[in-house]
Amino acid sequence: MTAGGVSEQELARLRPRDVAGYLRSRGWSPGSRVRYSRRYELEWSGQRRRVLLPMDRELADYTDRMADLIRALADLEGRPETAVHQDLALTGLDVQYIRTKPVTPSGTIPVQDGVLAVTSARDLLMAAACTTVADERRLVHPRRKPQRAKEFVAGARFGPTSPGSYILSVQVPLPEPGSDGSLFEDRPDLDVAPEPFARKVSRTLFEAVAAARDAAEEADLADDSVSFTEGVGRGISADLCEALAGLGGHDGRDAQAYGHGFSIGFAWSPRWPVPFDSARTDFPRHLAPVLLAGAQDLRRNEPERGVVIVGRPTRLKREADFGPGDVTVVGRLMKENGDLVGQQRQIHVRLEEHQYNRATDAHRDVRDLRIEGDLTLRGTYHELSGVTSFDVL
Amino acid sequence: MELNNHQGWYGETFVSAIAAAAGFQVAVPYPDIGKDLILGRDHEDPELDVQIALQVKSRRVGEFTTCGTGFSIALPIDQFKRLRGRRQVPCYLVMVVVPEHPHEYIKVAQQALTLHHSAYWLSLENHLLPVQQGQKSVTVTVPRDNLLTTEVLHEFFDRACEEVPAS
Repeated sequence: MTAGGVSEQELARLRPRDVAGYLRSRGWSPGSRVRYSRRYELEWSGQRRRVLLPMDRELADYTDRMADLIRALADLEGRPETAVHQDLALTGLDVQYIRTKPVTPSGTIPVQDGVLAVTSARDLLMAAACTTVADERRLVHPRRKPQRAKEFVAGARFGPTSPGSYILSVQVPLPEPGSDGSLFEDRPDLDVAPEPFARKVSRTLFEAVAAARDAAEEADLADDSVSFTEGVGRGISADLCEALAGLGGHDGRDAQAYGHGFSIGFAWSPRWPVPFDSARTDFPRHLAPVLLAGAQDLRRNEPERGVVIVGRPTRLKREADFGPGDVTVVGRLMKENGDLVGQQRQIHVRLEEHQYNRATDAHRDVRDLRIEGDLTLRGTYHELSGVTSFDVL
Repeated sequence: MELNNHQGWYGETFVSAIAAAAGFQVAVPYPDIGKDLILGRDHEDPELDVQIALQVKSRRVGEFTTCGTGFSIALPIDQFKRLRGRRQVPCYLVMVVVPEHPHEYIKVAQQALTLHHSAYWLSLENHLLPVQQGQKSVTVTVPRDNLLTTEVLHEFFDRACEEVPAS
């Protein structure tokens, strides 16, 4: 049997566990077993509604019973059976719906904007995957992307575009959580496998997109992009902001680009708990250039990692007679071959107590320091953080 | 009405009468999904989501062969496949033996309406698919002991409500 245009093959592919997740997510409660099925119940308009979910895919009438179930749900939800089926079939996926709003007729997008939107959607996934992989939050992700992030993006896919302005759907497949009919089948709260990497990326993306929208609104009002740096802890990165700007039709090459608004909606697979709503995040047209400017600032503020500086301590300051302190070094960068390069610059370094004491001795003895860490430009001076080695020459 | 159609229609109605006497609602699926009748309970009943399905074959006296224990009946292979295997909605083959001539189908009296002759059932759940490739039909035997009665329908229904332990 088929259900309103859903083929028998498609019905056969539905997994009882996924359908159970769909039912639970819509308020249905599991009840008693009836033969090879589980009864699900729901109070609906003052009436107790019941449906049967076949739990055994080997049943000879599995597709007939799934068709019955879809028909009953479509009837209750007032939706076409194909729409209900699509939701059931997507339960193994987290889906992001990227709705662009170009000025062309609904359902179309200019070719150039379309190409930019598609590549930006990919870059958005990559940014979220890199943030998820990284053990620390970074302003800019490395050019050489982590293998795990590359594999994640390679596994994602575009689904069919939906009716509307021009909607791209990005599907993130989630792994199988296990076989049907687990030990905790009756206790969905216990029947949860560890959260997979793909879901972690979806969650990172959801949080980062919301953070970027907040930061862009704040930056637009205050005319100051510090909100982007402050949002790095929520997953903002230059890469993410550039991808978002691209979805708004701005790639940074054409300062006069008109651009368009866009929104990103999230649909979550019920295979893992979804502790947040999946409301759409809207980006009005005027925020795309703000996102781009934010990305540029993040790039400027990104530290150069593993830099070696050599120079004389000129100023030492600490709050007490012991503990860590701040040192200003006037020095230059040292290349791997030992050559000193670039102009002399003022570099502020925060040192541990024993390093600070040795820096004080070096200052008194007029000796140079050699320090390795991450170098960041802070307006008129540089700052070296994350010190990994310290020597008095 | 053409004889075969008449006989088929009468056979289904014969079974519907037994189902009605047993207190079941009877639905005729449309479009035809390979089951002639779907039996369910009253919608106020907690078991409204439990059903059983019947595939009805009507054969007039002299039109079928009998063997020692029952009646032989040939089913097209596709129909056989639609009746076998484990199912959430149990499906039974019902063979109705009808008189040779339509005027013998029923006898109406003051106190009784008598329907002729009788119906027999068979579950094909555990029947194996034929080994031979390309076989067009499968012959099964409907036991003479499996008389279809209101009690039997209630048994079918009770079985359809039971939880089946995972194998």
